[in-house]
Amino acid sequence: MKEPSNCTGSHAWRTNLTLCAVVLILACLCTGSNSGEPCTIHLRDVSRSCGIKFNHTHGGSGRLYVFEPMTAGLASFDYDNDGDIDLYFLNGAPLPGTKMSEPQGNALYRNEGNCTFTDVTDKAGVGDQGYGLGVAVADYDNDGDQDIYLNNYGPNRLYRNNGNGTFSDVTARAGLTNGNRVGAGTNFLDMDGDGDLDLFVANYLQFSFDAHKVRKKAGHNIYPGPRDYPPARNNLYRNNNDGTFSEVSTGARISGYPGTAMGTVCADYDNDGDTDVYVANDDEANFLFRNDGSGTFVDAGLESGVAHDLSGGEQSSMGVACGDYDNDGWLDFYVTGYQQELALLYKNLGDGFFEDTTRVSGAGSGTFQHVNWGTEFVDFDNDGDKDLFVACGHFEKDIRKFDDSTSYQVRNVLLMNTGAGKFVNVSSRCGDGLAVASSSRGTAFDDLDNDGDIDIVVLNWQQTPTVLRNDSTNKNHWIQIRLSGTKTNRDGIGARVKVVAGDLIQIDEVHSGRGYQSHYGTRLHFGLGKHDRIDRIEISWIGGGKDVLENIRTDQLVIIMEGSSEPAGGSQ
Amino acid sequence: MNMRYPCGKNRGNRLVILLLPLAACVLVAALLSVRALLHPNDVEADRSDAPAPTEPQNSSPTVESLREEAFTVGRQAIKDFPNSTGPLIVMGKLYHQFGNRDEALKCWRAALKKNPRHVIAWSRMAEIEVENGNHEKAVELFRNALKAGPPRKETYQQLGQALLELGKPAEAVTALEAEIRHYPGTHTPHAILGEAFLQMKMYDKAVASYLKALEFAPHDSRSSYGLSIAYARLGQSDLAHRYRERFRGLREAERDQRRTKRQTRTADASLEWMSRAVAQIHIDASQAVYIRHRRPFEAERLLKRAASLDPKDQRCRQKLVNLYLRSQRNADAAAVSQELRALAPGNPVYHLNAGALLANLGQLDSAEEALREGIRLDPRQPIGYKSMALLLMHNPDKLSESMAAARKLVEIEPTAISYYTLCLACETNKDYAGAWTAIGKAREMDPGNEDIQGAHRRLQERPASEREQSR
Repeated sequence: MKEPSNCTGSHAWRTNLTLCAVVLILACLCTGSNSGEPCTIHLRDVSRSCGIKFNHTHGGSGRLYVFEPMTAGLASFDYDNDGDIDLYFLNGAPLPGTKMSEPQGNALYRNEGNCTFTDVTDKAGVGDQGYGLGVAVADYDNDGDQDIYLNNYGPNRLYRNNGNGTFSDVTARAGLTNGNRVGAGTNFLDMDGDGDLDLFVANYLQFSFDAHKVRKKAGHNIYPGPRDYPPARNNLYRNNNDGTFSEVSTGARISGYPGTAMGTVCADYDNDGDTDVYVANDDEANFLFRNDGSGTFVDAGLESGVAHDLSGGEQSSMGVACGDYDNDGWLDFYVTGYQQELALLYKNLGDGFFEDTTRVSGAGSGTFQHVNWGTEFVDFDNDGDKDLFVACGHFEKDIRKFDDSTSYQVRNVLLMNTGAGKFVNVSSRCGDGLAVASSSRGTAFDDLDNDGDIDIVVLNWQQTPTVLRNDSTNKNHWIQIRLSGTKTNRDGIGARVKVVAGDLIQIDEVHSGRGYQSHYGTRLHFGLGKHDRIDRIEISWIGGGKDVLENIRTDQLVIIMEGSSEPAGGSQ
Repeated sequence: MNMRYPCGKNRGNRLVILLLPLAACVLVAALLSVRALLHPNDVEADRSDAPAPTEPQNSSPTVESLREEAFTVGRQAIKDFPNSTGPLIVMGKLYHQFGNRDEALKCWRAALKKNPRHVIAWSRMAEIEVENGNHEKAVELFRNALKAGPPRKETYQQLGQALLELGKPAEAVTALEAEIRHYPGTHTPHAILGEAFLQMKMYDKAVASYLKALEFAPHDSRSSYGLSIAYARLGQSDLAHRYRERFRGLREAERDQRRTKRQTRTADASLEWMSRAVAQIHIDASQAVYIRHRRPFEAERLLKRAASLDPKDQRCRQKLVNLYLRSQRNADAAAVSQELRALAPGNPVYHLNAGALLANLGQLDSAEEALREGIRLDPRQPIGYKSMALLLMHNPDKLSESMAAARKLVEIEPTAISYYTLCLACETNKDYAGAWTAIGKAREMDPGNEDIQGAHRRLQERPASEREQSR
């Protein structure tokens, strides 16, 4: 064999060959040998070191009530306005037949910085012991701090933030108990552009313990399904701007559509300046309530193509992501579902129609085998396009005894946006963060360590949560934007933000309540790739007002006050 | 057999000869097609008729006992025919049915070791990969199935669907068009083709495909949905609206039906499900193993057990009828045919088959009633009129009806045998001129047919005046 000309002896040649092999193996490990797309996202599991001891329970005793698998969502938001994103976890509660010496309730963890958290539930007074399902966060009373609404099975709860690290239960006064229903997603939105935040409260189905049904499959007790019960109507509450709300479901024409709601999001899908409502229904057609601007809605789900899959089938929809994945200026939807169903990507065509591009985009990759829950469009690698995260896991602990196509505890899925309208499944090569196998539910996405990239928190069913720190190493730029309404609602919920950096134009909106019955992202985050300057930021406030800021520095959090053309504050 | 005269002592025999094949041909054809699909390449034949496993005596089975019974059947089949692929296919299906895909795959791989061209084994493995969401692998396996032998119904369709799932609509179109070429007449490949064209933004072609699907299945909600989308993209909002509303109506009806069914389901659904599942295993084993290896008693025992496990199952009863017909057990065949009529009163074939079998047994009133129902349900089916014409020739009060049935038969299916039937009906009604004309037509169409020639000779022997009298 001929020796390489640049080597002087056989030993050196062998050494070089070994080095080459090591380099090749490392390259394969880094980029993934099964795909041409290098993975630029790195997520690290920091659950054990972050100080979160919360342990989720569904509260069941083995009787298998239909809503047990649906608990729960979580919220990430800055409750104490200290600049760090805090975490609030919802919990189940003891159900008939269950004996618990000490009901656990929900938990609030204060971010101490650097991804470490302290349990402040008792001090803050937000340890609701109802049966937690969905949550939305917003400053509903425009007093400068964020409040919490809990959509439970049983009475709901509104916690008003006192601005001093504590909350008060103002549910009864606000008129937001919402009866004794099985809740689901919930959202604050300004449905009529009057400057205060109204409330959408989704309901799963009509349940009573007397109507509980026992189901079996192949000799195993299993949970009943949504079709074992009558569907439920959703509720809409108008903010009276005096700390109280009035139910307007009938007048707003929301109540005419009984369904089996799960995840919900309120967003302006048709760019007409008002906020619409998308409801993911379990085993029923999804709703897209189009707002006529006055807070009156009509379901446009079927005609716009987001109610069904490509074959006209109703998916068992769970969570819903909303974002502009292809940077065409229109918000798209991504809806997760049950096993043997692909999570669906609905591309907004901008003319009132959506196209199911799941297959041609690869956005369903890795989702077919599992039950899928929390999800969102997030630019994890700051390259200027939004990737997708999907939380997975079954609720039948013994599922493999009668169906080995899926598993109870599985790894979550990360789909990287290639920038060309395609997604690549990089779950197995983006760090140890996605090596965790759990039965996940709600997810939250925010910059927990204020380092300019988005981290992930996953509520795991019957387990402790997973916290994934984004350790992606790249030189990409970014900006985070916190809106502050003055004429409109304080959090800027419903406001549309457009960021222009050279040829990269992105939009996003502030949403309250999203994904799978969760809340996050009050602070908008834009990855900017190699663009080190932002030409323009345009804000379209709900109700029609517009602000434009120009020539903005990147890699900072800016606070933008309504009516101002300069940032009100910021931090690097 | 000598003269086949329409009246007299021999008419019962003639009835047997004419009617029995009607029932048999329908059922045997159905069964043979299934058999051919299950065993395209398996050429083993074992004529031994050793006793098969005894059925359990437990009068109130449990889910566990039923599961064990199914596995006993599967294991026994493998023991009886260790060199055959059939038992492995059945065992694989059994594992699959109970959610153990890994074991199912092992069985089908073992079948492929014995016969690498086993189309069913390749297809089943592909279906598992589809369920696992591994569409790339599924495509490879479906292609192996297609290479291994003649395409089974739906294999190209499944390949097309898997390609569609992979985001390869152009390749899916090729596969789906192949399915339509091989198996025209069903709506599903057209509907999936519509979806492929939608993905390719070829909306005109999508419309054409969906409309074709609706020709075969007017109530297919999937196609109505696709049309609503395709028309919307084409800017034809009125048509989009029309199909959207149609879809909405169809889905609501389907949804209500499903919800009602689910809500009325009993807590014992698991036992019911298991009984049905185990019944299917019995049927598969009887067909793929014992009938194939010519052990009819075992096959019969398994089919009867399937019928008792699933009192509503039609498949096992169809197979029993066929089995009985093959062994000349016409009374048994007729009894099971009557069960099928009761199970599916809307299926004209069951009534027609039962009518033919009952006629053969001399139960003429019951036969007539069954045939009338079959004709009522499917007035375009020639077999009903043919059977009815022949049957009523034996009822002196209904000779004119026999003639009317024969005329209808000729109208629907103007073949030599239809004209021959009309000739017989005319003769019975003493319309020799009509008989002469009919037999003339039959001779033109099938000059070599001995029955037709015999009738022609018979009529020739009659006075010419009779043949011309009523012309």
